[in-house]
Amino acid sequence: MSIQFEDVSYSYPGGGAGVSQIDLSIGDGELVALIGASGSGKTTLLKLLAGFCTPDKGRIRVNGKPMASLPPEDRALGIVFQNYALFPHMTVRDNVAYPLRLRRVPRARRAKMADDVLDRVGLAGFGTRLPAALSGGQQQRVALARALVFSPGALLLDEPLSALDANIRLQMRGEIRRAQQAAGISALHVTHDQEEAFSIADRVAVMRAGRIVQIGTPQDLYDRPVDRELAAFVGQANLWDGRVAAAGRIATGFGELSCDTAGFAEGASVTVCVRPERILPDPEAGMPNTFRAAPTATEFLGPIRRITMQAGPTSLMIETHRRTTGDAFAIPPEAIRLLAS
Amino acid sequence: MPAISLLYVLFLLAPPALLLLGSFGQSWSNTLLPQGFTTQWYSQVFSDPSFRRAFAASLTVVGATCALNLMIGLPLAYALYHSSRRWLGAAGKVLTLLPMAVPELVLAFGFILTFSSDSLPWLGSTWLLIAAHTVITLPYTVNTVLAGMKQVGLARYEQAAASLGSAPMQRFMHIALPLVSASVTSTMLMVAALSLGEFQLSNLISGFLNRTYPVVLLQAFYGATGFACAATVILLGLALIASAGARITAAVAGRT
Repeated sequence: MSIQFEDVSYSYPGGGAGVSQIDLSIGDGELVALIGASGSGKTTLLKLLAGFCTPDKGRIRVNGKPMASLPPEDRALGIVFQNYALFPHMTVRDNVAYPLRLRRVPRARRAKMADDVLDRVGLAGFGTRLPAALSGGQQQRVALARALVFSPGALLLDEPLSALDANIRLQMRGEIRRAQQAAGISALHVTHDQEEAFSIADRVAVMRAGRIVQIGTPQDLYDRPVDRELAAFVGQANLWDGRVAAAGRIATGFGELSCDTAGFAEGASVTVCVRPERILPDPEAGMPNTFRAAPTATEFLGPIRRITMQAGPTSLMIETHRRTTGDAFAIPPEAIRLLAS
Repeated sequence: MPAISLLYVLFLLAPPALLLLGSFGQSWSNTLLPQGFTTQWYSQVFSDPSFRRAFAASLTVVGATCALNLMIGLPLAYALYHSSRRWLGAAGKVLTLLPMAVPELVLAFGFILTFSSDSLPWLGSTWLLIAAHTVITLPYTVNTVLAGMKQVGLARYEQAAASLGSAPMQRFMHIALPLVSASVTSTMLMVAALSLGEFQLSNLISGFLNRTYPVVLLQAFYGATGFACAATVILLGLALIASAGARITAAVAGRT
Protein backbone atom coordinates (compact mmCIF):
# COMPACT_ATOMS: atom_id res chain seq x y z
CA MET A 1 0.00 0.00 0.00
CA SER A 2 1.35 3.31 -0.97
CA ILE A 3 -0.22 6.10 1.06
CA GLN A 4 -1.51 5.26 4.51
CA PHE A 5 -3.21 7.31 7.17
CA GLU A 6 -3.62 5.48 10.45
CA ASP A 7 -5.87 7.03 13.07
CA VAL A 8 -4.68 10.52 12.17
CA SER A 9 -6.07 13.49 14.10
CA TYR A 10 -5.17 17.15 13.85
CA SER A 11 -6.70 20.34 15.16
CA TYR A 12 -5.60 23.85 14.23
CA PRO A 13 -3.85 25.89 16.94
CA GLY A 14 -6.45 28.64 16.57
CA GLY A 15 -9.20 26.10 17.25
CA GLY A 16 -10.25 25.76 13.60
CA ALA A 17 -11.80 22.51 12.45
CA GLY A 18 -9.13 19.93 11.71
CA VAL A 19 -9.53 16.22 11.05
CA SER A 20 -10.11 13.33 13.42
CA GLN A 21 -9.53 9.59 13.34
CA ILE A 22 -8.66 9.37 9.68
CA ASP A 23 -7.92 5.89 8.36
CA LEU A 24 -7.20 5.84 4.67
CA SER A 25 -5.13 3.57 2.45
CA ILE A 26 -4.35 4.44 -1.12
CA GLY A 27 -2.94 1.57 -3.16
CA ASP A 28 -0.07 1.53 -5.64
CA GLY A 29 -1.05 3.54 -8.71
CA GLU A 30 -4.47 4.25 -7.26
CA LEU A 31 -6.06 7.69 -7.44
CA VAL A 32 -8.32 8.57 -4.54
CA ALA A 33 -10.38 11.75 -4.66
CA LEU A 34 -11.33 13.53 -1.46
CA ILE A 35 -14.52 15.50 -1.69
CA GLY A 36 -16.45 17.50 0.84
CA ALA A 37 -17.80 20.94 1.53
CA SER A 38 -15.28 23.67 2.35
CA GLY A 39 -14.13 23.33 5.95
CA SER A 40 -14.72 19.57 5.92
CA GLY A 41 -11.01 18.91 6.37
CA LYS A 42 -10.02 17.67 2.91
CA THR A 43 -7.31 20.27 2.39
CA THR A 44 -6.07 19.70 5.95
CA LEU A 45 -5.57 16.03 5.11
CA LEU A 46 -3.48 17.01 2.09
CA LYS A 47 -1.42 19.43 4.19
CA LEU A 48 -0.76 16.69 6.73
CA LEU A 49 0.44 14.38 3.99
CA ALA A 50 2.57 17.15 2.44
CA GLY A 51 4.12 18.01 5.80
CA PHE A 52 2.80 21.56 6.03
CA CYS A 53 1.06 20.50 9.26
CA THR A 54 2.06 17.83 11.77
CA PRO A 55 -0.63 15.47 13.07
CA ASP A 56 -1.45 15.55 16.78
CA LYS A 57 -1.96 11.81 16.69
CA GLY A 58 -1.63 8.89 14.32
CA ARG A 59 0.76 7.79 11.61
CA ILE A 60 1.20 8.68 7.96
CA ARG A 61 3.27 6.46 5.67
CA VAL A 62 4.20 6.79 2.03
CA ASN A 63 5.48 3.61 0.36
CA GLY A 64 5.99 2.19 3.82
CA LYS A 65 8.14 5.08 5.00
CA PRO A 66 6.93 6.98 8.09
CA MET A 67 6.48 10.67 7.33
CA ALA A 68 6.04 12.01 10.85
CA SER A 69 9.53 13.38 11.44
CA LEU A 70 10.22 14.51 7.87
CA PRO A 71 9.94 18.16 6.80
CA PRO A 72 8.10 18.78 3.50
CA GLU A 73 11.35 19.02 1.52
CA ASP A 74 12.39 15.49 2.48
CA ARG A 75 9.10 13.79 1.64
CA ALA A 76 9.57 13.67 -2.16
CA LEU A 77 5.90 14.18 -2.95
CA GLY A 78 4.82 15.91 -6.14
CA ILE A 79 2.18 18.52 -5.40
CA VAL A 80 0.04 20.43 -7.87
CA PHE A 81 -1.34 23.48 -6.10
CA GLN A 82 -4.63 25.21 -6.64
CA ASN A 83 -2.98 28.34 -8.03
CA TYR A 84 -0.10 26.34 -9.56
CA ALA A 85 2.47 28.38 -7.58
CA LEU A 86 4.86 28.51 -10.53
CA PHE A 87 7.84 30.66 -9.60
CA PRO A 88 7.19 33.92 -11.45
CA HIS A 89 10.87 34.86 -11.69
CA MET A 90 11.93 31.63 -13.37
CA THR A 91 11.32 30.51 -16.93
CA VAL A 92 9.07 27.53 -17.58
CA ARG A 93 12.13 25.33 -18.08
CA ASP A 94 13.79 26.56 -14.87
CA ASN A 95 10.54 25.94 -12.99
CA VAL A 96 10.39 22.35 -14.18
CA ALA A 97 14.13 21.83 -13.66
CA TYR A 98 14.07 23.31 -10.14
CA PRO A 99 13.53 20.01 -8.28
CA LEU A 100 16.35 18.50 -10.37
CA ARG A 101 18.64 21.42 -9.53
CA LEU A 102 17.99 20.74 -5.84
CA ARG A 103 18.91 17.11 -6.45
CA ARG A 104 22.19 18.21 -8.04
CA VAL A 105 21.43 16.90 -11.52
CA PRO A 106 24.04 18.45 -13.87
CA ARG A 107 22.80 21.54 -15.68
CA ALA A 108 22.73 20.14 -19.22
CA ARG A 109 20.97 16.96 -18.14
CA ARG A 110 18.30 18.70 -16.13
CA ALA A 111 17.53 21.08 -19.01
CA LYS A 112 17.12 18.05 -21.26
CA MET A 113 14.91 16.25 -18.73
CA ALA A 114 12.77 19.37 -18.27
CA ASP A 115 12.36 19.76 -22.01
CA ASP A 116 11.38 16.10 -22.36
CA VAL A 117 8.69 16.43 -19.72
CA LEU A 118 7.43 19.68 -21.24
CA ASP A 119 7.30 17.92 -24.58
CA ARG A 120 5.18 15.18 -23.05
CA VAL A 121 2.62 17.65 -21.69
CA GLY A 122 2.42 19.38 -25.06
CA LEU A 123 4.50 22.43 -24.21
CA ALA A 124 7.56 21.88 -26.38
CA GLY A 125 9.11 25.25 -27.22
CA PHE A 126 7.61 27.03 -24.21
CA GLY A 127 10.71 26.47 -22.06
CA THR A 128 12.11 29.98 -22.29
CA ARG A 129 8.86 31.79 -21.49
CA LEU A 130 7.90 33.15 -18.11
CA PRO A 131 4.86 31.59 -16.41
CA ALA A 132 2.92 34.86 -16.64
CA ALA A 133 2.98 34.55 -20.44
CA LEU A 134 1.06 31.24 -20.35
CA SER A 135 -2.68 30.56 -20.23
CA GLY A 136 -4.24 28.91 -17.19
CA GLY A 137 -4.31 25.49 -18.84
CA GLN A 138 -0.67 25.78 -19.90
CA GLN A 139 0.38 26.86 -16.39
CA GLN A 140 -1.48 23.84 -15.07
CA ARG A 141 0.52 21.55 -17.36
CA VAL A 142 3.79 23.14 -16.26
CA ALA A 143 2.78 22.61 -12.63
CA LEU A 144 2.02 18.96 -13.39
CA ALA A 145 5.32 18.53 -15.22
CA ARG A 146 7.22 20.12 -12.32
CA ALA A 147 5.48 17.87 -9.79
CA LEU A 148 6.34 14.69 -11.72
CA VAL A 149 9.80 15.40 -13.16
CA PHE A 150 11.68 14.21 -10.08
CA SER A 151 9.87 10.85 -9.88
CA PRO A 152 8.08 11.57 -6.59
CA GLY A 153 6.77 8.84 -4.32
CA ALA A 154 3.19 10.04 -4.70
CA LEU A 155 1.18 12.78 -6.37
CA LEU A 156 -0.94 15.27 -4.43
CA LEU A 157 -3.49 17.40 -6.23
CA ASP A 158 -5.02 20.33 -4.39
CA GLU A 159 -8.10 21.48 -6.33
CA PRO A 160 -5.92 21.61 -9.43
CA LEU A 161 -8.75 22.36 -11.86
CA SER A 162 -10.80 24.88 -9.94
CA ALA A 163 -9.18 27.90 -11.57
CA LEU A 164 -9.74 26.69 -15.14
CA ASP A 165 -12.55 27.26 -17.64
CA ALA A 166 -15.07 24.44 -17.91
CA ASN A 167 -13.94 23.08 -21.29
CA ILE A 168 -10.22 23.08 -20.39
CA ARG A 169 -11.09 21.45 -17.09
CA LEU A 170 -12.51 18.40 -18.90
CA GLN A 171 -9.39 18.08 -21.02
CA MET A 172 -7.00 18.59 -18.09
CA ARG A 173 -8.62 16.00 -15.91
CA GLY A 174 -7.93 13.41 -18.59
CA GLU A 175 -4.32 14.60 -18.81
CA ILE A 176 -3.82 14.43 -15.06
CA ARG A 177 -5.19 10.90 -14.99
CA ARG A 178 -2.94 9.80 -17.85
CA ALA A 179 0.17 11.39 -16.32
CA GLN A 180 -0.54 9.78 -12.96
CA GLN A 181 -0.99 6.35 -14.51
CA ALA A 182 2.10 6.72 -16.67
CA ALA A 183 4.09 7.55 -13.54
CA GLY A 184 2.48 4.58 -11.80
CA ILE A 185 2.25 6.32 -8.43
CA SER A 186 -0.60 6.70 -5.98
CA ALA A 187 -2.40 10.01 -5.90
CA LEU A 188 -4.59 11.98 -3.56
CA HIS A 189 -6.86 14.42 -5.36
CA VAL A 190 -8.67 17.05 -3.31
CA THR A 191 -11.67 18.68 -4.94
CA HIS A 192 -15.06 20.12 -4.13
CA ASP A 193 -16.38 19.07 -7.53
CA GLN A 194 -18.20 15.76 -7.23
CA GLU A 195 -18.39 15.20 -10.97
CA GLU A 196 -14.63 15.75 -11.32
CA ALA A 197 -13.96 13.32 -8.47
CA PHE A 198 -16.20 10.66 -10.02
CA SER A 199 -14.68 10.97 -13.46
CA ILE A 200 -11.03 10.82 -12.42
CA ALA A 201 -10.82 8.66 -9.29
CA ASP A 202 -10.60 4.94 -8.66
CA ARG A 203 -12.17 5.55 -5.29
CA VAL A 204 -13.79 8.58 -3.74
CA ALA A 205 -13.72 9.51 -0.06
CA VAL A 206 -16.35 11.91 1.23
CA MET A 207 -15.40 14.09 4.18
CA ARG A 208 -17.66 15.88 6.59
CA ALA A 209 -16.70 17.73 9.78
CA GLY A 210 -13.16 16.35 9.76
CA ARG A 211 -14.08 12.73 9.23
CA ILE A 212 -14.33 10.40 6.27
CA VAL A 213 -18.01 9.44 6.18
CA GLN A 214 -17.80 7.07 3.22
CA ILE A 215 -15.18 5.76 0.87
CA GLY A 216 -15.74 3.61 -2.18
CA THR A 217 -15.85 3.48 -5.93
CA PRO A 218 -17.93 6.23 -7.54
CA GLN A 219 -20.63 3.66 -8.26
CA ASP A 220 -20.67 2.50 -4.61
CA LEU A 221 -21.14 6.03 -3.42
CA TYR A 222 -23.89 6.74 -5.88
CA ASP A 223 -25.82 3.51 -5.46
CA ARG A 224 -25.24 2.90 -1.77
CA PRO A 225 -24.85 6.18 0.09
CA VAL A 226 -24.55 5.63 3.83
CA ASP A 227 -26.80 8.44 4.94
CA ARG A 228 -29.29 11.02 3.83
CA GLU A 229 -26.82 13.90 3.70
CA LEU A 230 -24.41 11.91 1.59
CA ALA A 231 -27.16 10.84 -0.80
CA ALA A 232 -28.03 14.50 -1.33
CA PHE A 233 -24.37 15.53 -1.66
CA VAL A 234 -23.49 12.93 -4.27
CA GLY A 235 -25.68 13.65 -7.28
CA GLN A 236 -29.42 14.28 -7.15
CA ALA A 237 -31.72 12.23 -4.95
CA ASN A 238 -35.36 11.98 -3.95
CA LEU A 239 -35.40 11.61 -0.17
CA TRP A 240 -38.65 10.84 1.60
CA ASP A 241 -39.45 10.07 5.21
CA GLY A 242 -40.96 6.66 5.64
CA ARG A 243 -41.75 3.93 8.13
CA VAL A 244 -41.42 0.16 7.87
CA ALA A 245 -45.08 -0.91 7.81
CA ALA A 246 -44.36 -4.60 7.50
CA ALA A 247 -41.57 -6.77 6.15
CA GLY A 248 -41.07 -5.59 2.57
CA ARG A 249 -43.50 -2.67 2.90
CA ILE A 250 -42.66 1.00 3.52
CA ALA A 251 -45.29 3.61 4.32
CA THR A 252 -44.60 7.01 2.72
CA GLY A 253 -46.55 10.22 2.25
CA PHE A 254 -47.92 9.11 -1.11
CA GLY A 255 -48.61 5.44 -0.39
CA GLU A 256 -46.96 2.14 0.44
CA LEU A 257 -43.87 1.00 -1.41
CA SER A 258 -42.75 -2.57 -1.66
CA CYS A 259 -39.04 -3.13 -1.44
CA ASP A 260 -36.38 -5.02 0.48
CA THR A 261 -36.48 -3.97 4.14
CA ALA A 262 -33.74 -6.25 5.40
CA GLY A 263 -31.93 -4.72 8.35
CA PHE A 264 -34.85 -2.57 9.47
CA ALA A 265 -37.34 -3.60 12.16
CA GLU A 266 -41.05 -3.20 11.70
CA GLY A 267 -42.12 0.31 12.77
CA ALA A 268 -38.65 1.82 12.27
CA SER A 269 -38.38 5.28 10.74
CA VAL A 270 -36.35 5.33 7.54
CA THR A 271 -35.35 7.66 4.74
CA VAL A 272 -36.30 6.41 1.31
CA CYS A 273 -33.70 7.32 -1.29
CA VAL A 274 -34.44 7.02 -5.01
CA ARG A 275 -32.30 8.48 -7.76
CA PRO A 276 -34.37 10.59 -10.20
CA GLU A 277 -33.36 8.59 -13.28
CA ARG A 278 -34.60 5.34 -11.71
CA ILE A 279 -38.24 6.49 -11.52
CA LEU A 280 -40.26 5.65 -14.60
CA PRO A 281 -42.78 8.20 -15.75
CA ASP A 282 -45.72 6.88 -17.79
CA PRO A 283 -45.22 3.20 -16.68
CA GLU A 284 -46.78 0.19 -18.32
CA ALA A 285 -49.75 -1.35 -16.54
CA GLY A 286 -49.03 -3.88 -13.81
CA MET A 287 -45.64 -2.58 -12.71
CA PRO A 288 -45.05 -2.67 -8.95
CA ASN A 289 -45.00 0.59 -6.97
CA THR A 290 -47.10 2.46 -9.52
CA PHE A 291 -48.74 5.66 -8.29
CA ARG A 292 -50.86 8.30 -9.93
CA ALA A 293 -49.34 11.77 -9.91
CA ALA A 294 -49.66 15.10 -11.65
CA PRO A 295 -46.66 16.56 -13.47
CA THR A 296 -46.11 20.13 -12.27
CA ALA A 297 -43.00 21.21 -14.16
CA THR A 298 -40.77 19.98 -16.95
CA GLU A 299 -37.25 21.10 -17.78
CA PHE A 300 -35.81 20.10 -21.13
CA LEU A 301 -32.08 19.49 -20.77
CA GLY A 302 -31.30 18.01 -24.18
CA PRO A 303 -30.49 14.33 -23.63
CA ILE A 304 -32.91 14.11 -20.72
CA ARG A 305 -35.93 15.85 -19.34
CA ARG A 306 -36.34 16.63 -15.65
CA ILE A 307 -39.93 16.28 -14.55
CA THR A 308 -41.35 17.36 -11.22
CA MET A 309 -44.43 15.42 -10.12
CA GLN A 310 -46.73 15.92 -7.21
CA ALA A 311 -48.07 12.79 -5.49
CA GLY A 312 -50.17 13.72 -2.47
CA PRO A 313 -48.00 15.89 -0.22
CA THR A 314 -44.79 14.64 -1.84
CA SER A 315 -42.89 16.25 -4.68
CA LEU A 316 -40.76 13.93 -6.84
CA MET A 317 -37.93 14.60 -9.22
CA ILE A 318 -37.75 12.35 -12.25
CA GLU A 319 -35.17 12.31 -15.00
CA THR A 320 -36.02 10.53 -18.21
CA HIS A 321 -34.99 10.33 -21.83
CA ARG A 322 -38.61 9.65 -22.81
CA ARG A 323 -40.40 12.48 -24.50
CA THR A 324 -43.84 11.75 -23.14
CA THR A 325 -45.17 12.33 -19.67
CA GLY A 326 -48.10 10.38 -18.25
CA ASP A 327 -50.07 10.92 -15.08
CA ALA A 328 -48.42 8.11 -13.15
CA PHE A 329 -44.96 6.90 -12.17
CA ALA A 330 -43.42 3.64 -11.04
CA ILE A 331 -40.45 2.93 -8.81
CA PRO A 332 -38.79 -0.44 -9.39
CA PRO A 333 -38.22 -2.05 -5.96
CA GLU A 334 -34.50 -2.53 -6.66
CA ALA A 335 -34.12 1.24 -7.19
CA ILE A 336 -35.13 1.95 -3.63
CA ARG A 337 -32.49 2.35 -0.97
CA LEU A 338 -33.43 2.68 2.67
CA LEU A 339 -31.32 4.82 5.00
CA ALA A 340 -31.58 5.00 8.77
CA SER A 341 -33.02 8.34 9.80
CA MET B 1 -11.93 73.66 -3.88
CA PRO B 2 -9.66 74.27 -6.92
CA ALA B 3 -8.48 77.49 -5.24
CA ILE B 4 -7.40 75.55 -2.17
CA SER B 5 -5.58 72.98 -4.27
CA LEU B 6 -3.81 75.75 -6.14
CA LEU B 7 -2.80 77.42 -2.91
CA TYR B 8 -1.51 74.09 -1.59
CA VAL B 9 0.58 73.46 -4.69
CA LEU B 10 1.91 77.02 -4.44
CA PHE B 11 2.96 76.53 -0.83
CA LEU B 12 4.52 73.21 -1.77
CA LEU B 13 6.43 74.33 -4.82
CA ALA B 14 7.26 77.98 -4.18
CA PRO B 15 10.02 77.42 -1.57
CA PRO B 16 12.07 74.96 -3.66
CA ALA B 17 11.48 77.09 -6.76
CA LEU B 18 12.78 80.17 -4.98
CA LEU B 19 15.73 78.16 -3.66
CA LEU B 20 16.59 77.13 -7.20
CA LEU B 21 16.32 80.75 -8.38
CA GLY B 22 18.34 82.00 -5.43
CA SER B 23 21.12 79.50 -6.07
CA PHE B 24 21.81 81.12 -9.45
CA GLY B 25 21.30 84.74 -8.30
CA GLN B 26 24.21 87.11 -7.90
CA SER B 27 22.71 89.00 -4.97
CA TRP B 28 19.43 88.70 -3.10
CA SER B 29 18.58 91.20 -0.38
CA ASN B 30 15.37 93.08 0.28
CA THR B 31 13.89 92.15 -3.14
CA LEU B 32 11.29 89.54 -3.99
CA LEU B 33 13.55 87.87 -6.56
CA PRO B 34 17.36 87.64 -6.73
CA GLN B 35 19.38 89.88 -9.08
CA GLY B 36 21.91 88.77 -11.74
CA PHE B 37 23.00 85.26 -12.80
CA THR B 38 25.98 83.26 -11.59
CA THR B 39 27.12 79.68 -10.99
CA GLN B 40 29.76 80.76 -8.49
CA TRP B 41 27.71 79.57 -5.48
CA TYR B 42 27.81 76.00 -6.74
CA SER B 43 31.56 76.05 -7.32
CA GLN B 44 31.97 77.57 -3.86
CA VAL B 45 29.94 74.79 -2.27
CA PHE B 46 31.94 72.16 -4.15
CA SER B 47 35.24 73.62 -3.03
CA ASP B 48 34.21 74.37 0.56
CA PRO B 49 36.18 71.98 2.82
CA SER B 50 33.50 71.72 5.50
CA PHE B 51 30.82 70.91 2.88
CA ARG B 52 33.06 68.36 1.24
CA ARG B 53 33.65 66.74 4.60
CA ALA B 54 29.92 66.85 5.39
CA PHE B 55 29.14 65.29 2.04
CA ALA B 56 31.59 62.46 2.68
CA ALA B 57 30.21 62.01 6.19
CA SER B 58 26.66 61.86 4.85
CA LEU B 59 27.62 59.30 2.20
CA THR B 60 29.30 57.13 4.83
CA VAL B 61 26.32 57.33 7.16
CA VAL B 62 23.79 56.73 4.36
CA GLY B 63 25.74 53.75 2.99
CA ALA B 64 26.28 52.14 6.37
CA THR B 65 22.66 52.78 7.39
CA CYS B 66 21.40 51.06 4.25
CA ALA B 67 23.76 48.14 4.79
CA LEU B 68 22.65 47.70 8.40
CA ASN B 69 19.00 47.98 7.42
CA LEU B 70 19.56 45.24 4.89
CA MET B 71 21.44 43.02 7.32
CA ILE B 72 19.00 43.45 10.20
CA GLY B 73 15.74 44.46 8.57
CA LEU B 74 15.50 41.82 5.85
CA PRO B 75 16.03 38.78 8.12
CA LEU B 76 13.78 40.37 10.75
CA ALA B 77 10.97 40.94 8.24
CA TYR B 78 11.42 37.39 6.93
CA ALA B 79 11.25 35.95 10.44
CA LEU B 80 8.17 38.01 11.26
CA TYR B 81 6.53 36.92 8.00
CA HIS B 82 7.01 33.27 8.88
CA SER B 83 6.31 33.46 12.58
CA SER B 84 3.12 31.68 13.48
CA ARG B 85 3.42 32.74 17.09
CA ARG B 86 1.17 35.73 17.63
CA TRP B 87 3.10 37.26 20.50
CA LEU B 88 6.24 37.32 18.37
CA GLY B 89 4.45 39.21 15.63
CA ALA B 90 3.01 41.64 18.18
CA ALA B 91 6.39 42.13 19.85
CA GLY B 92 8.01 42.76 16.48
CA LYS B 93 5.35 45.28 15.61
CA VAL B 94 5.76 47.22 18.88
CA LEU B 95 9.54 47.16 18.56
CA THR B 96 9.48 48.52 15.05
CA LEU B 97 6.79 51.11 15.75
CA LEU B 98 8.39 52.47 18.91
CA PRO B 99 11.08 54.59 17.21
CA MET B 100 8.39 56.06 14.93
CA ALA B 101 6.23 57.10 17.87
CA VAL B 102 9.06 58.55 19.97
CA PRO B 103 10.04 62.10 18.87
CA GLU B 104 13.55 62.21 17.47
CA LEU B 105 14.42 64.88 20.01
CA VAL B 106 13.66 62.46 22.84
CA LEU B 107 15.72 59.80 21.14
CA ALA B 108 18.62 62.24 20.73
CA PHE B 109 18.59 63.25 24.41
CA GLY B 110 18.58 59.59 25.29
CA PHE B 111 21.62 59.05 23.11
CA ILE B 112 23.37 62.07 24.67
CA LEU B 113 22.68 60.89 28.21
CA THR B 114 23.70 57.32 27.53
CA PHE B 115 26.79 57.89 25.45
CA SER B 116 28.40 60.86 27.18
CA SER B 117 29.02 58.80 30.29
CA ASP B 118 32.54 57.65 31.16
CA SER B 119 31.72 54.01 30.58
CA LEU B 120 30.21 54.58 27.11
CA PRO B 121 32.02 57.66 25.79
CA TRP B 122 30.96 57.34 22.15
CA LEU B 123 28.98 60.52 21.60
CA GLY B 124 30.19 62.22 18.43
CA SER B 125 31.51 59.06 16.82
CA THR B 126 30.43 58.13 13.29
CA TRP B 127 29.35 54.68 14.44
CA LEU B 128 26.95 56.13 16.94
CA LEU B 129 25.52 58.37 14.24
CA ILE B 130 25.06 55.34 11.98
CA ALA B 131 23.43 53.42 14.81
CA ALA B 132 21.02 56.30 15.43
CA HIS B 133 20.09 56.52 11.75
CA THR B 134 19.55 52.77 11.67
CA VAL B 135 17.28 52.92 14.70
CA ILE B 136 15.02 55.50 13.09
CA THR B 137 14.92 53.90 9.62
CA LEU B 138 14.67 50.22 10.58
CA PRO B 139 10.91 50.34 11.33
CA TYR B 140 10.31 51.63 7.85
CA THR B 141 12.41 48.84 6.33
CA VAL B 142 10.80 46.04 8.33
CA ASN B 143 7.27 47.24 7.64
CA THR B 144 7.67 47.81 3.91
CA VAL B 145 9.65 44.64 3.26
CA LEU B 146 7.09 42.67 5.29
CA ALA B 147 4.31 44.26 3.24
CA GLY B 148 6.21 43.35 0.06
CA MET B 149 6.43 39.71 1.17
CA LYS B 150 2.73 39.63 1.88
CA GLN B 151 1.96 41.25 -1.43
CA VAL B 152 3.81 38.70 -3.58
CA GLY B 153 2.35 35.88 -1.47
CA LEU B 154 5.75 34.45 -0.66
CA ALA B 155 4.32 31.60 1.45
CA ARG B 156 2.69 29.72 -1.40
CA TYR B 157 5.83 29.83 -3.55
CA GLU B 158 7.96 28.70 -0.63
CA GLN B 159 5.53 25.87 0.10
CA ALA B 160 5.73 24.78 -3.51
CA ALA B 161 9.53 24.97 -3.36
CA ALA B 162 9.56 22.90 -0.16
CA SER B 163 7.44 20.22 -1.80
CA LEU B 164 9.99 20.07 -4.61
CA GLY B 165 12.80 19.44 -2.12
CA SER B 166 14.00 22.93 -1.23
CA ALA B 167 15.45 23.34 2.28
CA PRO B 168 14.80 26.52 4.31
CA MET B 169 18.06 28.24 3.33
CA GLN B 170 17.57 27.31 -0.32
CA ARG B 171 14.02 28.67 -0.23
CA PHE B 172 15.35 31.97 1.09
CA MET B 173 18.05 32.20 -1.59
CA HIS B 174 16.17 30.79 -4.60
CA ILE B 175 12.64 31.99 -3.97
CA ALA B 176 12.31 34.67 -1.28
CA LEU B 177 15.26 36.89 -2.25
CA PRO B 178 14.52 37.14 -5.99
CA LEU B 179 10.81 37.69 -5.37
CA VAL B 180 11.29 40.54 -2.89
CA SER B 181 14.42 42.05 -4.44
CA ALA B 182 12.52 44.86 -6.18
CA SER B 183 10.65 45.85 -3.03
CA VAL B 184 13.90 45.63 -1.01
CA THR B 185 15.71 47.88 -3.51
CA SER B 186 12.92 50.42 -3.36
CA THR B 187 12.96 50.31 0.44
CA MET B 188 16.74 50.84 0.53
CA LEU B 189 16.50 53.88 -1.75
CA MET B 190 13.81 55.32 0.51
CA VAL B 191 15.99 54.64 3.56
CA ALA B 192 18.84 56.45 1.78
CA ALA B 193 16.58 59.46 1.18
CA LEU B 194 15.42 59.46 4.83
CA SER B 195 18.94 59.15 6.20
CA LEU B 196 20.33 61.77 3.82
CA GLY B 197 17.81 64.39 4.92
CA GLU B 198 17.81 63.55 8.64
CA PHE B 199 18.59 66.68 10.67
CA GLN B 200 17.24 66.70 14.25
CA LEU B 201 19.07 63.69 15.58
CA SER B 202 22.27 64.24 13.59
CA ASN B 203 22.47 67.87 14.72
CA LEU B 204 22.42 66.81 18.35
CA ILE B 205 24.66 63.76 18.37
CA SER B 206 27.21 64.20 15.55
CA GLY B 207 30.75 65.29 16.38
CA PHE B 208 32.41 68.32 14.82
CA LEU B 209 34.24 66.31 12.16
CA ASN B 210 31.43 64.00 11.14
CA ARG B 211 28.58 66.48 10.90
CA THR B 212 26.26 65.36 8.12
CA TYR B 213 25.28 67.51 5.18
CA PRO B 214 21.98 68.90 6.56
CA VAL B 215 23.70 69.88 9.83
CA VAL B 216 26.39 71.86 8.00
CA LEU B 217 23.72 73.30 5.73
CA LEU B 218 22.13 75.10 8.68
CA GLN B 219 25.39 76.95 9.25
CA ALA B 220 25.36 78.12 5.63
CA PHE B 221 22.29 80.24 6.19
CA TYR B 222 24.32 82.53 8.43
CA GLY B 223 26.41 83.45 5.35
CA ALA B 224 25.60 84.46 1.75
CA THR B 225 22.05 83.61 0.61
CA GLY B 226 23.09 82.30 -2.79
CA PHE B 227 25.59 79.92 -1.22
CA ALA B 228 22.96 78.55 1.16
CA CYS B 229 20.49 78.14 -1.69
CA ALA B 230 23.00 76.24 -3.84
CA ALA B 231 23.92 73.92 -0.95
CA THR B 232 20.23 73.24 -0.29
CA VAL B 233 19.46 72.57 -3.94
CA ILE B 234 22.19 69.91 -3.99
CA LEU B 235 20.60 68.13 -1.00
CA LEU B 236 17.16 68.47 -2.54
CA GLY B 237 18.41 67.01 -5.80
CA LEU B 238 19.97 63.97 -4.12
CA ALA B 239 16.86 63.34 -2.01
CA LEU B 240 14.63 63.62 -5.09
CA ILE B 241 16.78 61.17 -7.04
CA ALA B 242 16.64 58.63 -4.20
CA SER B 243 12.88 58.90 -3.71
CA ALA B 244 12.18 58.83 -7.43
CA GLY B 245 14.32 55.68 -7.65
CA ALA B 246 12.38 54.22 -4.74
CA ARG B 247 9.08 55.00 -6.47
CA ILE B 248 10.13 53.47 -9.76
CA THR B 249 11.46 50.24 -8.20
CA ALA B 250 8.34 50.03 -6.02
CA ALA B 251 6.19 50.24 -9.14
CA VAL B 252 8.26 47.47 -10.72
CA ALA B 253 7.88 45.40 -7.57
CA GLY B 254 4.14 45.98 -7.58
CA ARG B 255 3.79 44.70 -11.12
CA THR B 256 5.31 41.27 -10.55
